[in-house]
Amino acid sequence: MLHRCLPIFLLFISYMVSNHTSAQSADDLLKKVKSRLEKVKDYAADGNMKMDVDFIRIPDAKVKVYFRQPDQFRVIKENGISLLPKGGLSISLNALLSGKEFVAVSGGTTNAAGRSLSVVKLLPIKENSEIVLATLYIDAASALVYRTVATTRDNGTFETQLSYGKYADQGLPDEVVFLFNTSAYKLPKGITMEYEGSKKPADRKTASNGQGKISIRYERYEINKGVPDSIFK
Amino acid sequence: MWKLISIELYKIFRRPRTYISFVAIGAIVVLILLAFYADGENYMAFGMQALTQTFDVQGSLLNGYLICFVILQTLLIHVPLLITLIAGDQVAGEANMGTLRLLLTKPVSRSRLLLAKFLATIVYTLALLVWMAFLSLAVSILVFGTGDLLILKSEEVVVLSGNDVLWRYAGAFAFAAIAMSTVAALAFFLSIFAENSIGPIVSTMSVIIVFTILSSLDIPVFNALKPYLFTTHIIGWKGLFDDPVAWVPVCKSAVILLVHIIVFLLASVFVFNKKDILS
Repeated sequence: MLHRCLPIFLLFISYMVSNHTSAQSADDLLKKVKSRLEKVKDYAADGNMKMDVDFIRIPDAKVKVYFRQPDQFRVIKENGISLLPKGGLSISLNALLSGKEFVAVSGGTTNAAGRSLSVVKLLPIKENSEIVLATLYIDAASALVYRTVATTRDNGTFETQLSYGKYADQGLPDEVVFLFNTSAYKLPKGITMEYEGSKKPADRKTASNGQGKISIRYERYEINKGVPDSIFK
Repeated sequence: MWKLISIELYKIFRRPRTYISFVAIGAIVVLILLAFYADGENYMAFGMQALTQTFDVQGSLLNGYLICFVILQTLLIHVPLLITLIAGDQVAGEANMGTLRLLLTKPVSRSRLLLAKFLATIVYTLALLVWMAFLSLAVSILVFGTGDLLILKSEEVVVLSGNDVLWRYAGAFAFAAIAMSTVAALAFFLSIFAENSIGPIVSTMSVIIVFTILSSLDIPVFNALKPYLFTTHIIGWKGLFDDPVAWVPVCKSAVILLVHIIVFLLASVFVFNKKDILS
């Protein structure tokens, strides 16, 4: 009887140990990422923003991006208008992770952009958290997050792809590409009094499958120099 | 010729009713500016609902450029009425007062006389547009400042950079001058047939109202008619606020309107030369 049960028992033990280890390593990895990000209390960055949405024609613009712990984030175009998808907080990794408690579950590893990345799934501890599930793709060696996929309670799923350069030590990306779902936009022609000669957006539509894209290329960060309250009002 | 035009201009600007149009445009623009100043944010929030359901809009939407666009959109529907008040009166008014026959006894050909009257009408139309441009653009910018211009269209949203807007307004007002001259030419043409100015004024406005309704309704039966209605082309100034600008249709619309002006003017000269003037 004993020799029959022993292999099953050992298998169970090894599964528990490996599961615990991977959970622990996911936790450790998240801690490493967060501790790096938490060094940045606030930042003000200059960047170039480019938006690609089927029904929006907006020129590329120089923007100021502000972040302050725990999750205050704002993109401002000087004397201009900027459009950001609602709930697009996860465009900033700092705003996505800082000041929030998650249970981290390992999702194994995957290869992306020539790197082996650890997949860490995050479940928020707070019941009313806007983020329902977030997946981070982390380079374990550098503890840099190269991709995130966040599913929110009200605003659908967002994906960010990050690339790093001279601010990698602070965990701040040089470029963020932010992908989001767009819903249909339509106003009655009777209200807008459309000119018939205008080109229809359908003529210019790309095969984007209803997905919008915003990319911000950062030129310069000012880190931990303080950001006034008025910016976030 | 210049003397004839001066006389016609004197006649136009001597009448108090000419200034009703300038006062009316002034009042409408001031009221719109006041309304935006007092409650512009709420108006914008209401208008932007379709966009703000999905996007957070940051920055100053309410600026002089946007208000000028709203005023242009509103007023270019009403300005034709003010233009027909004068254009429809040019020949019919003289007939009504009994001065037309007397006028034709002067040693000036009917064609020259008519051309002078028409050019004086165009000068009045342009003066009205310059006044409108000054109030709607210059005063709006003075009160609300400048910034990016956000335009909501039926199937897309266009945001134009603040430094890329002013030339579009210059083009839009130039286009509006052609569009309003078309209205003036129509009212002027109808004025040849009438003995008092009410007829051409009401007829011109009726044509514009019916054509505008046909142009704005998105119904397949009417869609086939749209390219042939001059009211479809009157709003061609909006094409200048596309990104990129739809130059071909805008220029095509401008040419169609210019052809209308020439046809109405030639028809006016032809009919007037043949007409038996009895009043």
